[in-house]
Amino acid sequence: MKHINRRTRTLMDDAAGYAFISPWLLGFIAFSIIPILFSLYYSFTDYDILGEPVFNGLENFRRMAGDQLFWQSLKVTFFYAFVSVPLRLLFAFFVAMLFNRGTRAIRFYQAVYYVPSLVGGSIAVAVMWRRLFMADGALNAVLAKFGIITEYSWIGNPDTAIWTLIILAVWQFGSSMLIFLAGLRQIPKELYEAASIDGAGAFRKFLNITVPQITPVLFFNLVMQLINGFTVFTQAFVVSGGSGDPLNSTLVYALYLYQRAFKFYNMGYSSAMAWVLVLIIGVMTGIVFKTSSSWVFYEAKEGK
Amino acid sequence: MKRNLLIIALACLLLVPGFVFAQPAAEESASGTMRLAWWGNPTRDERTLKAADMFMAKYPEIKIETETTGWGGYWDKMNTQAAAGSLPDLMQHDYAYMLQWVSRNQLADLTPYIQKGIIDLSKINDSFLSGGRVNGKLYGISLGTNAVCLTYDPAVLAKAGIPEPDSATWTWEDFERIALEIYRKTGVQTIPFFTTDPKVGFDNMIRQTGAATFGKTGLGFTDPSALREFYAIQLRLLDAGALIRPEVAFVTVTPEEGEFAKGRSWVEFIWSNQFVSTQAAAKRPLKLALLPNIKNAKAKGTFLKPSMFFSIPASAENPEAAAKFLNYFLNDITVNDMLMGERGVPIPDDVRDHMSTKVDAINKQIFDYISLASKNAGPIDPPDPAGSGEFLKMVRDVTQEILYKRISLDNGVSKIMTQGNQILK
Amino acid sequence: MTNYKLKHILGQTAFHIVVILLGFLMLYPILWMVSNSFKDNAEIFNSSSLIPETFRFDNYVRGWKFNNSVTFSTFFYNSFYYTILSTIGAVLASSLVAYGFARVPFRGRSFWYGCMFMTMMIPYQVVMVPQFIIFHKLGWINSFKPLIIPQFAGLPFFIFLMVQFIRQIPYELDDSAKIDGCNRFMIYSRILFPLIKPAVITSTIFSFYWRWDDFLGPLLFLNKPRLFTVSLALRMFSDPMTSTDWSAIFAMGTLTLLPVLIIFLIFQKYIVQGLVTTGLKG
Repeated sequence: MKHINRRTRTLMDDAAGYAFISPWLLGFIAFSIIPILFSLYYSFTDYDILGEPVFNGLENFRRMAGDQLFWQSLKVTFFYAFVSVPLRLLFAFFVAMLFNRGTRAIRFYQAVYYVPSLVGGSIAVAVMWRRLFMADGALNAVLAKFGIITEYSWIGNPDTAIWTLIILAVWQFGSSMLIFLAGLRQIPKELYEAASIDGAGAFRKFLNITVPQITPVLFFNLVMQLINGFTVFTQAFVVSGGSGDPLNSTLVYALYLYQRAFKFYNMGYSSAMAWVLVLIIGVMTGIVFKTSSSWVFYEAKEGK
Repeated sequence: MKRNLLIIALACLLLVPGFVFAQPAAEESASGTMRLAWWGNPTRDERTLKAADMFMAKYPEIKIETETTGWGGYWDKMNTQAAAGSLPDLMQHDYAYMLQWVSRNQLADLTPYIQKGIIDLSKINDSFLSGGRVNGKLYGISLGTNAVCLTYDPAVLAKAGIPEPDSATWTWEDFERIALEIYRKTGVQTIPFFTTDPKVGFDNMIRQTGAATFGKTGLGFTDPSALREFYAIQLRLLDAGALIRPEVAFVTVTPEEGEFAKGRSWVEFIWSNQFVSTQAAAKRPLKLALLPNIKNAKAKGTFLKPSMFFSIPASAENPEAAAKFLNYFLNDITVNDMLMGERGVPIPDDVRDHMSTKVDAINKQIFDYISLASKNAGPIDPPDPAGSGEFLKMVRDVTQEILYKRISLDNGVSKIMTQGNQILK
Repeated sequence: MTNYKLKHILGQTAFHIVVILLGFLMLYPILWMVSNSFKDNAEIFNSSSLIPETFRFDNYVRGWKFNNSVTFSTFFYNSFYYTILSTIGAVLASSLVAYGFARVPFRGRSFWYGCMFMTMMIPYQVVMVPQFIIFHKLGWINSFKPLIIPQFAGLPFFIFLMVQFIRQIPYELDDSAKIDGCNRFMIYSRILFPLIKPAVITSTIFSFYWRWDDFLGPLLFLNKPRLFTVSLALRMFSDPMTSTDWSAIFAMGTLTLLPVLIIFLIFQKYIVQGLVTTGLKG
């Protein structure tokens, strides 16, 4: 009797559980699983969207290996992600250290420093950014005030164009700063007090307490933001005028994929490119899960 | 418990909001609204919008919605819309893409609307219509005649003490000499040739050798010397400091913000119909000339081209309204008085005759240039083959590589040759 | 002692000066844009000044009119419509799903929870093309359906946030509610939903921000100007080939940032909370 009771209860729990997660589950199947399977299939086809997909085996991947623009976009994206993200985090960390004290004005400062993160994703800012770095833009006007007269076009030069995007990313360090600030405040005061009694100086305390305590947070954010960095699109699209100019120096991966899909109509090829991106991000994610068990998942607390 | 499940199920149903979707700005029924799309520039946008207003005032039962972007964004947008089956009712089209669109069954044959009398072609010489004809069916009506050209600032030449060139006979050597002399005497530079679409520039030179850029398969030329010369001239000018730096020239800006409008270049390379907006941006007297000749030219490089078409997509929701507007835009004298040939010299005889009596000085220049060009023009090449989009992207990339000096001239040219043949195979 | 105090005051002053200078540098681009929205077109070029020579409000009038056939009234209406409906869907669905994951011990729970995490890792580019094709075949292109309906499946990020919140709530509350005759849905709607209010508000704000700024989605699915959102309209407006009216562009750019900034001023606390919960714990 008891046995049956438990079984019906499990069944009812199952029903209730699936009912509750059904919006997500349906969406997961309709908007993730099915498109993913399609995408996987398309990546082995030649498909121009107007006709039918034609299976062509590994041809897309073979073409990719010899596609200079593919390698260029990969290079640009890696450079962008691996420069902008560490820079942003270092900056955020530095400012968080500066703010980690009890002045009343701090809350106001925090808000001000957070504003760029708030608006940074908008088209308005991307459009403004392009204008800022043109040959007759505000940057050169500011430089002129300091006596540096230049007609240098920051977005027109292949050496600096990508840096305007990097600066745009670093400029939005506010959200990381807030995270670090919270992390710093979670470090138990006792640790510092104990170190003081041992006669440790400020630098030693920083090195032996602050850094080890904050590293997991830092590392986690590094990897997550790198993953986001690989998929940057909007800013590059707007700042480069949609073409990856100059000299494809701002042709980030997502932009090239978009061009392949919607400009040249190589849907198969762009699907294949998307899967290469999954592979790259998969490796990055693997690093997250491998290197730390402290942050993710509550498996153990299952049930009552 | 059963009731619980029912409630949960209901809650989930409520979350699937298929039935609460009323669109904002709800669609009117097909009867009155038509969508019109074109690529353009501020001058053209302003005039086309005014034409739409005039049309709506005359035919209040039809409402026109407009979509406009620049050339590059336009084709991204139209390709996406074609894929989605949501093209506008009337779209501006280009000779280069006509064949590809017809072969993808994206455009409607206009013959039924001519038979029904909605579109009146009685005043149009048949030769003007051939560009829009594929396999005996008419897929687009030319909005004007166009030719590639070069516009220059005569004041700069005068200041440098250089006589104005005879545009029918001058050569690229003359051009180079003039450019260098102007730079030496006035400091005014030369703009890189056709930065948005370099193919237009070297195509003219290749045609002069008697070949064509596109062949049936692959490239239509095997001797790269004309192509090489196209870049070699620019590199020589660049090394002499007489060419505007590519860092500046390749940043896309409006005509007003361009280097030519700002007076930093004595020359600009355009299509003749763009002269209106170029002139409006430059705000000073300009002259038009044919592109220079190459040494030992065997054929004419210049050709007359329908500047652009209006086409009705096969998927149009309101093709009748579109046809009506097209006819109005083409034949109505008052609207053409306002349009002032901005899309090229009009093709109906009565409109053209009327225009030639009352055109302003700027359009007079274009009319004169077109008649000069027609005396110095060869036949037009067939429309671009499939894959031309990718080819043009490659050409523009390599052009940048050469002028930014990331690649040597010889390597750049051979890159265009090999990759071009690969892409177009 | 006085020496120490002096040093302290000097240190404080130096700190504030550095922070204020840096803050100004951070805000400069935004202030520059706002100031440009009042300037004459010619004044924008080669100018770094933040104070316009004369304040020209007609930039806003001109910008608002866009191309006369569609105005920014339409774009703002569309943006609000899309943003608000999506946000309601995303937040409600997420809370429902979060309750299921956090409180109902059904079989396969950790498997699906894991799947949810996986989807957070998959870039949008993978599903972009097939989604486009599917929505195209459904005839959803040029409507808000492909943008809004997926939101009603809940967002992994929000679900995760809410699961974390629910786990902090003691089970005794559920148990006593059960004794009072509440079923699961009632426990969710009457007991837990009010208790996870901070997470709900945080999710609402972030959803609003993301949808408001969304560009790629509208770029792919909305082609008629009458359906444009403000982001899309602004991009079309600033097409480097067609428009020169930078003052009007900056005026409209400034307006599109307003809702974002206003919400930030009101709900600051929740934003910080949301960032910290997800940023610290993953």
